[in-house]
Amino acid sequence: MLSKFVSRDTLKGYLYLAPALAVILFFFLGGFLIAFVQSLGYFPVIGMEEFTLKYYKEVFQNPEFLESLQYTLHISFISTAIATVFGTALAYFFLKTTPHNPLFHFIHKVPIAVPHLVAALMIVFILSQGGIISRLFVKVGWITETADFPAIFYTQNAIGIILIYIWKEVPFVTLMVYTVMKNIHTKLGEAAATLKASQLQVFCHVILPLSMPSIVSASAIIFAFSFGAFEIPFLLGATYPKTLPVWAYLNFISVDLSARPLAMVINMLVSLVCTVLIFIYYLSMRKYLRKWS
Amino acid sequence: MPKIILKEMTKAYEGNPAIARVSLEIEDGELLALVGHSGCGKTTLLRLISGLTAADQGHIWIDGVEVTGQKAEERDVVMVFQENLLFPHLTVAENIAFGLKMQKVPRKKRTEKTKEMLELMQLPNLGKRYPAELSGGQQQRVALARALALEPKVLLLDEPLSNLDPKLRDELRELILRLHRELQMTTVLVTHDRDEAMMMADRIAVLYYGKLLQVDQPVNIYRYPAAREVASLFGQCNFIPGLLKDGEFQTEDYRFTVPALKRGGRVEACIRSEHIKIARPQEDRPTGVILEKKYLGGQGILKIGVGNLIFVARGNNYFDLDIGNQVSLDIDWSQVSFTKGDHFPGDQTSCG
Amino acid sequence: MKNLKTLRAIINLMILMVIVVPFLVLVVWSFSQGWPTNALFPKEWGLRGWSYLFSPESKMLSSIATSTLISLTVTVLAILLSIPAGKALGVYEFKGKKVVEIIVLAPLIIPTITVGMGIQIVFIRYGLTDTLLGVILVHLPIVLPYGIRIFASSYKAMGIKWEEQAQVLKAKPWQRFWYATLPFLYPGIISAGVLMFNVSFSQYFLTYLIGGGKILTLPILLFPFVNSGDRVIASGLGLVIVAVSVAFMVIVEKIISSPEQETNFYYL
Repeated sequence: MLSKFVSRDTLKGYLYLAPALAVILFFFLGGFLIAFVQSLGYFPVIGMEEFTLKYYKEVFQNPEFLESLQYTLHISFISTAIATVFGTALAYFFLKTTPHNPLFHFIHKVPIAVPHLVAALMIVFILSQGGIISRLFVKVGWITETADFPAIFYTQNAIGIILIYIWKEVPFVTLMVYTVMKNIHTKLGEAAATLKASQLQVFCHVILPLSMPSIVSASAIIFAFSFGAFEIPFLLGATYPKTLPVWAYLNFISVDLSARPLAMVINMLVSLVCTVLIFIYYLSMRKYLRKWS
Repeated sequence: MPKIILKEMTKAYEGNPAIARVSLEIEDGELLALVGHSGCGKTTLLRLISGLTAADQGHIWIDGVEVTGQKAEERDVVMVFQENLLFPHLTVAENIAFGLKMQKVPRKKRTEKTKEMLELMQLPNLGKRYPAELSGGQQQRVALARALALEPKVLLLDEPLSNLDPKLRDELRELILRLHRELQMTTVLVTHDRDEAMMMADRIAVLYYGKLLQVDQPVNIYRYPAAREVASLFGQCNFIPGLLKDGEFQTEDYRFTVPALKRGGRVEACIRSEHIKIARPQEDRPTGVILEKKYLGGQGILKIGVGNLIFVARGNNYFDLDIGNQVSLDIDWSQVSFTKGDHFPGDQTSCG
Repeated sequence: MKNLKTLRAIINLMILMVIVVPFLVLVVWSFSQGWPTNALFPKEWGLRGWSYLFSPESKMLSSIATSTLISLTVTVLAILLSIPAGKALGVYEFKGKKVVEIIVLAPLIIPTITVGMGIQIVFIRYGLTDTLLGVILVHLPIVLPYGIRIFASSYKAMGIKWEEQAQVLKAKPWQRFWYATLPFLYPGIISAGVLMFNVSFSQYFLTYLIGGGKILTLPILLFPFVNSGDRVIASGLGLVIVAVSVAFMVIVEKIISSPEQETNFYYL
């Protein structure tokens, strides 16, 4: 039996949520739903009114799909792994040096104030053929002209894209992990020190395991982000293969409207990967929290 | 006419009754203490009076006007919470004037009233400080001042002293009593501290799992508890089942002559530990062996096994006795109260 | 001990370099005027890039206005929507709360490309494409999760005790919010405001898809410059974008003074 108290609470809860939820449901999940329906071949505007899985089949059978998936995973995995390791290490570095480290407050603002596009611009100006580094190499005499500098943009190795993501994501990981580490440190650091643990032992046995949920969550977020990102691979990616989001977009803007369901199929697959990833992170986090709290 | 009348008030949280059919009348200018173990519904009852919580059933009148449907801001009642909840972004003066500002009282009047309250609370010159700059005792005074600035008909205090250390507690208790005497304000005080209730209250209302067991003056609550639960809430009690008959209290092994009593039948005698004196072994008295000995303040507390009963006795001169000694009990029957033999039928539901 | 200090200094220097050098490169490019392909430094310096950017021809100034207008509107609307939503999630217990929490997180999980390509057709049908309103509407759900999460945790920490305290002091509902609750929300408003403004401010794909190139925001203007075009102008534009973001942060923190500005919310 629900008492009056509960039902009043429920009512208030729904009432307060309604506007925000309406916006998300209508403009966001609505868009997702349309994309889903179109991926099943339902697109009445151009007279397609049948539900079918053939576009899924078509995407799966296309050899470009696997290559594109691989390319996207390649970018996301490497950038996430490196950003996570660097970010965690930096967080620990700041933990050991902060109240006196003015750099920290600087790094606090940078990731927020610099959009990905600007970050991309900066990295391109530094590392492309014709960038500052290549000019430096010419000056030093290691290469005769900037065009001899190894290409990292528009390439299959995608090093340029990965570096852009790392530059942007390391501060993000650092801040997320630092906050948690600081809490742990103030709570348990002294206790561990009185137990005669060395700095390394404290880090390995106390700080690192306890901040693992935030590390995992930060890396899940940056992975999902880079996996679904469009602008930078579109601008700086290889001509072949494309990342999945870019491939989806090219199908989307195709003059041939019947390519649109293919775009939506790819979209669904990207969303699926992101969702599954966040879900796995959520599960591991729950298990972890049970263990540690 | 009573200031507050509660009739059949009932409140449940998620199906668990917190307050069950409580009826209570609180007199004008009275200080009533609501007492009970934690989770018995004291705070819920206070919130029902304040209007913060709406009752599921029942009615409430304040000053002869039914306020059952009124919200807290419409009732002429102010509550002081256990945590003092001074707004940290406002100065002491702004905190005290808060209620007046909400009611759009002109600034000049607010300033006057604030000054008056600061003097009343013996906090002059602190008006410009922020709450974080005050001591715990000062903060609680400001919280009181903020409530009193509204000149409410009824003041509700939810454990106002429980977060203070003993010395400050004594001070603030005296202050509350003084204010209560001076302002003649109807006050309801929630506390789990029986001594506090005994010292401060004109009457005490005892709550047990959401039900009102007894409402009476402190001395009566102590001497004539209406139920076993009331008795044990106000001191250590030995409960001895027996039969009241022909001016005697009969247990399996003993018969005691007791003062004339109205009722008879199967009862439970509530013998307070301080009303048992220890004597040399005597034939016609309950006699047993000391099992345990402890000290509390200047008193000794003894556990004495008599047959299959264990008595707890308390007194000043028990220091010389040792565990194992044979003693007899000398019970002051004029101080013993009797309650119905069967337990109070309190639901074993938990609350709040 | 001395080694440790040196190590610290070296790491600090490296961090500083990695952060600062890219900005320096942009600054140098933006003031250059003729920079031969293989030269390490520009041959000539000048204000060509800047004077172009500040001329109407470049559309930079109008884009700053458009971008600011969109992001500011989005931020204000999102704060107004997410305060009550945050309260619902932070304070009340109700059926379906878990589901709502997941829905609220969805815009952080599902990529914007999916949603943008899906919703575009609806926006076309209702004439919302190529309009400011359309862009604002499509930005809203993207920024809302940040605000809702921040305010939910503010409300969770604060509870409703302050509201009740104000209520027993005779405050009416709007007075309770204004005098008792809002001051506690200031730090949340700062971090949510800065976050949401910047998420909207740096949004490219949705603005492009719904604005159709007609709504010129700064990222739309910058986009083609990333891989081609005049580097002098591109550099200036990049710096301007960062400058506007920083200016917004500084202004917000100045306007809303709050005792504890350090917050734990970041975005990508």
